[in-house]
Amino acid sequence: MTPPLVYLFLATRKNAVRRFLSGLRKPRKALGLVVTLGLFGMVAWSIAHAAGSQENAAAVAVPMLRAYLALVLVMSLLSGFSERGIPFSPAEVHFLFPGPFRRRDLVLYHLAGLLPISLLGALLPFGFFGLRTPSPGFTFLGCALAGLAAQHVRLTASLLAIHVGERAFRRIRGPVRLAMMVASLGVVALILAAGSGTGGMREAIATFAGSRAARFVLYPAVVAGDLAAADTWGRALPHLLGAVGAAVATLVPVLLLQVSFLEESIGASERNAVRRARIRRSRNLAAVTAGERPVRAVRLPTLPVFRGAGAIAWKNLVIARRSLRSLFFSTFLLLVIFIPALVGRDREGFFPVAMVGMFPLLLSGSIAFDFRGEGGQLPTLKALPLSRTAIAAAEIAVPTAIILVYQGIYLVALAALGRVGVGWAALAWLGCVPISGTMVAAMNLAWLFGPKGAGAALLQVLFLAADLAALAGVAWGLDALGAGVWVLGGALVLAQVAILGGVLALLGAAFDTHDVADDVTA
Amino acid sequence: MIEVVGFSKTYGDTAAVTDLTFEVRPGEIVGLVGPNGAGKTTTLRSIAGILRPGAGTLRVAGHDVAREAVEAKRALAYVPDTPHPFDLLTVTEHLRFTALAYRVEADGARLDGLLREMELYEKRDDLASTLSRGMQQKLAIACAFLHEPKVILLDEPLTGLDPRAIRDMRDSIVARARAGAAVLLSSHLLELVERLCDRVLILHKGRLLAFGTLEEIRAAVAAEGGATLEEVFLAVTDPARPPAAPGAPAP
Repeated sequence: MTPPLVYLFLATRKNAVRRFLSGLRKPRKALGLVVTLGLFGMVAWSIAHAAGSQENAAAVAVPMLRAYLALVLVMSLLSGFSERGIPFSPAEVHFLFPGPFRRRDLVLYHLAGLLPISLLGALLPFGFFGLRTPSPGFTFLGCALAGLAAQHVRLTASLLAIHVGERAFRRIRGPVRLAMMVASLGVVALILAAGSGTGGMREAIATFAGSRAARFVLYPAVVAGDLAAADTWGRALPHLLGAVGAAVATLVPVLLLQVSFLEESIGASERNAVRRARIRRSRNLAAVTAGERPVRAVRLPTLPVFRGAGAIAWKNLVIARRSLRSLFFSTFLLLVIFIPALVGRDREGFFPVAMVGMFPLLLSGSIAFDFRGEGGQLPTLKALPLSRTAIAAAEIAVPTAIILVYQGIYLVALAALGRVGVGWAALAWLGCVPISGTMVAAMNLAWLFGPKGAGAALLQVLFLAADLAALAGVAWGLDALGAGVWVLGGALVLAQVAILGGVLALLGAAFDTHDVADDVTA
Repeated sequence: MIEVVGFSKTYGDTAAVTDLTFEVRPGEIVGLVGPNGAGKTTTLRSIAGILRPGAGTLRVAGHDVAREAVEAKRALAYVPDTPHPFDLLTVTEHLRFTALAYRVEADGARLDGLLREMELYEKRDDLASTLSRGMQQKLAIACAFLHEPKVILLDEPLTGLDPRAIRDMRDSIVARARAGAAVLLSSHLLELVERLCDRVLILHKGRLLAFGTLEEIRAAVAAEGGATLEEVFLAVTDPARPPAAPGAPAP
């Protein structure tokens, strides 16, 4: 990298750190940091605690880590090939593109900016698997180097997509994406098999990872797994060298490919900037992918339910339909988490049914077709001739309905597999209606109150705790009166409906008093 | 200083610019005007080496933009229509970075002089993200002028500036041209283009409609003697007007 780019890189990072530190003088930001660190600490502690009590933890964690990193590698290839061009910031486009910089300098500058992202990205697999491995330090190094290799692979794929030309790219994009998706699903299937612990699939993973083809194609992920399994420097060193070699080897094509990428990168950078602006404005990841592709007009339905406040639900439904990509990834996540619960034989009884309660939390980010997606539209909503509670109810309708669909499918699958009776599954789904509605309303309430990130998550946890405490109180009282199971169940559903009504009223009031200035100027 | 010969550019099946030929001489200011979508920004970006030309040759200070990109870019400055400074750099740091990038000395006196000229001196230690849009535009132009480029490309440079800043900016552009720079600027402010530019190039749907001094363009489109650039522009870009032969020959 040339001196001006080194200066730019260091100056921007230095100022970012300064701004972050000066921001901590504000009590809200300082509290947010403490809460975030506290939450991460708790998660890390619980994982480490669970790992300590688990026999042969490393034997489970290492193959799963390897499969996870392989998935990251494949997905990087896919996302790189999907995006022709390298996304730079608008300022970089303004100053660097017409500047006297060589192609290689700009690529290296871009890669330098991705380094912190690779390190942060390594925290996720490290948190889940690293604490169960013999030497967490080696595991983190392996994750970071594999992440770096994945970034190089993504960049190479992007440059190749430019190199083949637009017309050829359009022709081969579909088949390549399909192949990548099949490969991804294959890797996920291996993760699921490892998670469910059935059918000797752990051995299958070991066999697959040990094959020459896998070791070659997925080498950065495989060698990171090898590094995670090492317990001494002597055993780790060859793998560490291998991981560094993989990162360097994947960098070589990035530097050697003679592709003029500025033109395509303008488009990629603009799309990236628009996406970021949308996130900043609406703080909603779900609405981000909508509007990036051509869409067909949707007719206003004539059903009476979509009149008045119902029109808001209809509008959110249209947005949801145009955000199928974010729903696709959520479905993917749910499959990864819930298929082991469906097929595993070691978790009997009420546990698989109770897991439906996790759906709203897991889907939260990708189904924010509610107040969280409105951003600058809040003043318009306030001007509508509708009651605040009606607006609140209409806003939470679509995400709640989506969650209920997912929960319904899951409960039907449980019933079909004989894990739960049909009557219980139906009752559980009925109970899901007010529970999911309350949780979505609580998420919106947290959003309207203002905190972001961990602060919002903490607020949601508090709402959830209060809700559960209220239900526990009802259950305890009825149990003391000697009520039967069906009476108890029905009473809990009714209690939850009452709580939903209260939260909706609160949400309406929060919407009414919410200061829109911040949303409008964001 | 800027030589454009047979330049064409397409996006997919859409022709953005077709067979464009013109030149801008040292010390000259040429105004690039045309309706939205005429191909002005595509032309400027291609000369700046950001877009690949589909056909033709683009030369900046004698360097072929496609073959000697770095050498050509070292001789030019490009200011896009919307300023995008680095949020996390101060005003002075922007200038320092630019000085490093173009390998020019940036001592305190020189930086201070430029900052005062652009009325940014009081803001020199502020982060760019805290500046108004007009101030950000001035910062972009200050960075563009810092290395004393031989070629200056300005895409809507006066948008977002207040009347006083427009006048000051106009004076700055004229001063650079008088010092020998070739200036190519696009603008929708036709009155300003008429007063500021030595020659005008009218683009419409990617084709050159007219190029020359205002008098030459008037003569080419058979406009009356006192017709303003706006009147000439509206006449030649009128959808009802039959397609004219490519513009007046350059003198």
